Amino acid sequence: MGKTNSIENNIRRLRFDHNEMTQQQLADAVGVTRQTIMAIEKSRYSPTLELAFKIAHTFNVPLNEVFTYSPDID
Amino acid sequence: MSFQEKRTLMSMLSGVAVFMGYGYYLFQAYPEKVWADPTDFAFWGKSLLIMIPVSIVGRIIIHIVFTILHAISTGKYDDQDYKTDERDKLIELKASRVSQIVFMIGFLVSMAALAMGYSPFVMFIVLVIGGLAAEILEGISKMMYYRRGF
Repeated sequence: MGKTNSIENNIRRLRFDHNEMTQQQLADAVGVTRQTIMAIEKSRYSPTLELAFKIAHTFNVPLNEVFTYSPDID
Repeated sequence: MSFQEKRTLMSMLSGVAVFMGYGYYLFQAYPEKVWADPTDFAFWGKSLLIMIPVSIVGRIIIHIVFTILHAISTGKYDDQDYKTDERDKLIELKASRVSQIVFMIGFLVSMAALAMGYSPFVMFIVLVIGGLAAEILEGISKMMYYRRGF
């Protein structure tokens, strides 16, 4: 069973909205591996602030549209 | 299984293989020193010092061969997965903490063995086993962090 955290994200939907961008394309755009994007999408890894901003910048949306904090999950 | 997981598994197995190989060589080449004279500190000191470069070179060779074989078998010669990113570094750091704790426990047990009157031979064996256990648990914790997340 994978461990999840209280930070949720909309990366999958945003990728879909951006011409069905693949995980590899997003990974290349922000400079990480595809496994890291996969882990973030599944909420198994909380990215650094820098990476979070890079992802938001890639989709051209504000940070809070990509990541949301839900304290009740923990 | 991702390349990172395969690499971690390979690193762990190669570390154990090199250690076992060197240990086997030591017991075969110098049985009289290993068994007959457990208080020969110079021999144990030399053996442990030589083990460090042997282990490093052995693991580098195994790592290179593994990466080449992986690239040939998957056909990915310029795969972005070969690079490491912030998540890999964090996992490395967390696994390294586990490794250090285990090695420290091994060190304390080896000192306790000396304090309880066991021979230095026992101390060295416990120390080496502690190092090996630290390496294995480092690999296992890396695999766990890659699989489970953190």
